[in-house]
Parts: sequence; structure tokens; C-alpha cells
Amino acid sequence: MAASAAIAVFSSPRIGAYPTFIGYGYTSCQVCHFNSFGNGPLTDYGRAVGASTIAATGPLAGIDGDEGLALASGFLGRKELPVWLRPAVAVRGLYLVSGLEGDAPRKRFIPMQIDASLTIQSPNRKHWASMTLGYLPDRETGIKANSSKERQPLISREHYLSTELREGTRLMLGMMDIPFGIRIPDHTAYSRSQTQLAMNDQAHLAIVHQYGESYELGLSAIAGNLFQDADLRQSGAALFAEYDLLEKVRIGHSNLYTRNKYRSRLMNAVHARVGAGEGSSVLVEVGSVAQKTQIPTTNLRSYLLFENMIRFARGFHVMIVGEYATQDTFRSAPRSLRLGPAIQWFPMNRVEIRSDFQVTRVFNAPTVEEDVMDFLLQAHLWF
Amino acid sequence: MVLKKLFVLVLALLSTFARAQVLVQSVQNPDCQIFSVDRKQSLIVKTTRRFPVGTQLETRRAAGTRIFKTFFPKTSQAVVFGDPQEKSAFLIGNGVCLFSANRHVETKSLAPSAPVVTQKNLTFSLQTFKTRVTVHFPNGETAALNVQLIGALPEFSYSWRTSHSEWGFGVGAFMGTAEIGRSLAEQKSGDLVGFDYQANNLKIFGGEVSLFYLLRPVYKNVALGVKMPLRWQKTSWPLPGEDYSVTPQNDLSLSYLLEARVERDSITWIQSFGFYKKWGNILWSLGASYRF
Repeated sequence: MAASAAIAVFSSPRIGAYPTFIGYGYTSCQVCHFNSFGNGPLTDYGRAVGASTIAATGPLAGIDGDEGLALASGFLGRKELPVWLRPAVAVRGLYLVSGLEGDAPRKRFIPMQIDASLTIQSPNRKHWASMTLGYLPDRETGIKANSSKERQPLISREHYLSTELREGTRLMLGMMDIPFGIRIPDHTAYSRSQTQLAMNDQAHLAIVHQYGESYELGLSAIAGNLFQDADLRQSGAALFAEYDLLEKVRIGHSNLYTRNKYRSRLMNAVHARVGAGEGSSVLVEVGSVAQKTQIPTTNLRSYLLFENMIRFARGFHVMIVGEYATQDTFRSAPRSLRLGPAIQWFPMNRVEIRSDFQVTRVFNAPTVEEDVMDFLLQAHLWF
Repeated sequence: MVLKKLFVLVLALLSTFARAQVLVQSVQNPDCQIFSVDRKQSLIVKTTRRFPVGTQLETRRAAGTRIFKTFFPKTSQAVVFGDPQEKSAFLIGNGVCLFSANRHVETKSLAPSAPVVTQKNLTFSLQTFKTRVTVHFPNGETAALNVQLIGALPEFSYSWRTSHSEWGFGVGAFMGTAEIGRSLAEQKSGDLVGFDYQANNLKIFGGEVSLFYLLRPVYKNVALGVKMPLRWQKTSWPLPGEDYSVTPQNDLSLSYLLEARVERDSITWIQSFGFYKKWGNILWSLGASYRF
């Protein structure tokens, strides 16, 4: 694996990463992640590029430089596993201080992600089965799972089969995230909470992924979350498309329609990802969510995401995030604006530290209150 | 003998310092990249091997390496030359690069020195900030109420720029709306608890002049700096009743902002984050600028 990872870094024709990494020239998710549309376990290439390009060299750089870091980026470091076996572990914790604007801020630690993945792939790396199990600790104690019978401490984040039908066409079948909009990792972002496509909103679906030199298409047939009761499942279809407009400039659109016994949803979004220089980028997404319920009213939510990542040094990025959302676009409803600076730091491979200062300002509310201020400090480890 | 050893030590230290300088300069060059034609794959500078003196390299893309296009030099041809005695080589790309055997890379601008150039920019920003107004009651009591504003700021700026820093000034106009609503943030009397004062979509306009200073510590297209706008703005706050007054109707205030810029060709994305008038009144601005 180590050798193949190094070869991949310096010769692979396709690479991908966080959506903000378009600034590095990485436009597509599919080579860095097993899931063609991002999220979940990293491929050998993704591990190696993270170690040799994204993260700071750290204390373990050794004498081999970036090549050595790439070679040591496997699950067991330099020890190679059989090519068909790709395990992974990801842990993410959050220290949240909320209500900074008041006299008594609330401090909490939230274990956000404790995931273990196993991917079995064919020797030619064109077909694989992947499963990620997530552990859900009790939110209050943060240690052990809730004893409630309805609550499952272990859930499947995703499990699917992925096969290359022919060059440029891939079929994915199973439970996973629905491709829609820019898949940023911040699950509380309005673009993910308004669309209800956050960290626990996976569904069973079949995706045909078609890609070429300058475009990607993902057509999803959605059966809904089969672990839910049948009348609650949101089934339907979704389309995701991205095109290269210029070098390091990608524009895209997403459309989704789902319904169950109680409601239907029609969502549309357009987005752009623009890279500038080495490692800096701007992401913009504008979307709407039209929701019909049994009550004869249609509610049209809308949101905007603006995210600017600025690379100051290898592994060190300053981000400025601005978000806007309203619960009802054409009626008098509160409009939320959330904004703030953040630092994203990869001090060494397998370690990400992120710190956000968020200010939420609500317009069109009955009273003009103080801004709500939160501080978030995340640690993300992966193996 | 001791003096000789000391001399050698000083020379060694100086050479170490010189090598450190070389490394620092290599970090500051985003364009000096090369790929090998014969291997049909791209090479990042840190893995670049030496080329024979006099070799001419075409900087075309190799098949299947499209993803690495950002690593290619923008010029159509690169020439490797150097001193055969020193066994070092140079690459002429956007800048001049020295590729040495131990992977150190030195870059220099083709210009003899970084001149000061002037820039003119037109910027359009969306801005929101918070402040407070004071309601004066007939009985002499006062109460401070939160106000939040959102609006647009077209701005013209003129600046002087070197390779790593930029300083300048801007002149702009602000148009927007304000809302105020019943929030007696600093009520001083129990009599005011039931006081109802609410308004939104109030027109606000004004102008500002600003000074800014930006640094480009690593990449020429990424800047971080400070900006201090001095703004005058006018709003007609509705009066709750006779003998009431709301101040200030005119406001002249300083803001204290951190500014981040990312440039791509003539377009610059600008975000500013800081405080209007005082700590806690958060101001955020998002804009795009065109350089001409």
C-alpha cells in the first residue's frame, strides 16, 4: 500500500478532497474518497495527498520528506495491508462554548464522530464494498450510550457497493449520503440543516455517477432510509451536476424531489467553487427547499452559504464563513445570518484542529436582540 | 589554529543562514513549478530532479496529468541552464528558479527589484453591523436599544503595492436599512418595561473614508490586513411620541476591521470582520472588487 500510495500521489490522473481544496487544484472528490461524492473513508491516494500536500510535515517527517509521509499514510503506517483490505477509523470531538454574549456561557464537550470503516476492494481497485459504523454516545454524558430501547448506540453511516461499469461510469448501491450541493463537513451549516442532509440523514439509494474531463453527474434513485417505518421514508430522485467553467472554477446545480405519506420536498441549489492561487478558495451555494405537508400550505425555505478558505502556510488555513437562511422566503419570517472566522489547521498527518467563532444575527424578528456568539474547537483524528 | 577553526565555524553558520534564506524564498514562490516531459508526469518542486545544463523543456501538459495543471509554469517554454562547474541548474519560468541537488529551490523575480505599483479598485460590498441608539423619555429617563443594519457599500480605493504589502485609502457610500425593536438593553427604570418601540426597513445612508494596510506574507494573491473606516451615516428614527427623542440621528464613527482578500486575476474576494464603534458591535462585510 505504501508504494502504491506514493505512486498515486505523483502519478494519479484524478484527485479529490474537502470541497475547499479546489484551491489546490483538486476538483473532484472521487479519488480521495471511496464515496464518489465525498465523505467517508479515504482512498490510498487521499491518505497520501493529505499527508504530503495538505497537512504540515509535523515532527514525523523524517528524512524522506513528502514521499516518506505519503508512504507512511496507510492505516498501519508503512506496513502494507493486502490491497483488498482498507480499514479506517475517524474520531471527531467538539468543545463548544455557547452563549458568549451573556453572563453565563455554557461549556460542553460533544463527541461528534466515532466511526470505524471497512472497505473491501478488488485488486484492480475498480470495485469495492464499504461500510462505516458510527458509535453514538449519550449526548449528556458523552461516554456511554443511552439505555433507551429506541436508541441504537451503533448505526451504519453508510454501507454500499460501488462498481465501475465502464470508464467514466460508476454505479453505487446502498445506504449513503444523497449527493446534493457542496458537501461541506459542517453538518450544522444552514446548507445542510435546511436541506435535512446532515450527518445522520443517509438514505438507501442507487447512484449512477458519470464523469469526464470537465464534468460530473450523479443521478440518484432514492428509496429512503429503510431502517425507518415505511410511511416515514422519503423516497424520490436527485440530480447533482458539476462542470469546469475555467481552471479551478467549478459550477454546479442540484435538484431533489422526495416524498412520504406526510410531506413532499422539492429542493434546488446552484453552487460555485473557485480556487485561487495555491490552496485558497471560495465556495458559494444558494438553495431553496419547498416543503408541502398535509396542511394545505407550501413553505419555501432558502439558504446561502459563502465560505472562503485562505491558505497561509502548509497545513494552516484561515476560513471565513457566512451563512444566511430563512424559514419562509416569501412571508414575513425571521432571517438568520451566521458568520465568523475560523482556523483549520493540519499540524501533521491524521490530525485536524478547527476553531470557529460564530456570530448569529436574526433579522425580522419581533425584537432586536444581542447577537448570539459561540466558540467551537474541534479535534479530528483519522487512521 | 583556534582562529582558523572559528573562521570555519562562522563560515559554516553563514552558509547555513544562506541556505535558510533559500528555503524561505522557495516558499514564497507559487509559480515556480516544473514537470518532466520524459517521465510524462508532473513533479512538485520538492521532488524535482536536476536537469542537464542547457536542456530545453517544453511546458506542455503530459497526457493524463490534467489534475496537476496548477503545478505547471504558465510560460510556454522553460530553459534549463547553469554553471557546469557548480553542477547547478536554473529554470526560467515565471521567475528564475535554481534547482540544486539537495532539493533546495531559490526563486527570484525577473524584475531587478520589487517596484511600488499603484492600483485602483472598484469594490461592491454587502455589510451588516450592530449599534445602539438612545431613547430619551419625557421624564428624563433614557434607554439604549439595539439596532442592526444591513446594506450595500460601493467603494473606490487607491493603493500602493509592493510584492508583500499594500497600503491605501478608499471612499465609499453606504445605503441600507435598519431595524430596531423593543429591546431595552439598558433600561434604567421599571417604568420602561412595557415600553414598545419597534421599527424596521428604516432607510439609512451615509459615506465613509477608510485607510487600510495589507500584508501578503506567503502568496501574492492572498492578503490579510487591517482597515479603519470613518463613517458618517444618517437615519430618521421614528419618535415614540411627543417630547421623546432618539439619538443619534447623525453618527460619525470609526470601525476596526480585519480584512482578508483572495485574488484571482482582476477579481478579488474581500471579507472584513470587526467592530463598529466599539467592542461587541460586530460588523461583517462581504465584497467583490475589480482592479483596473
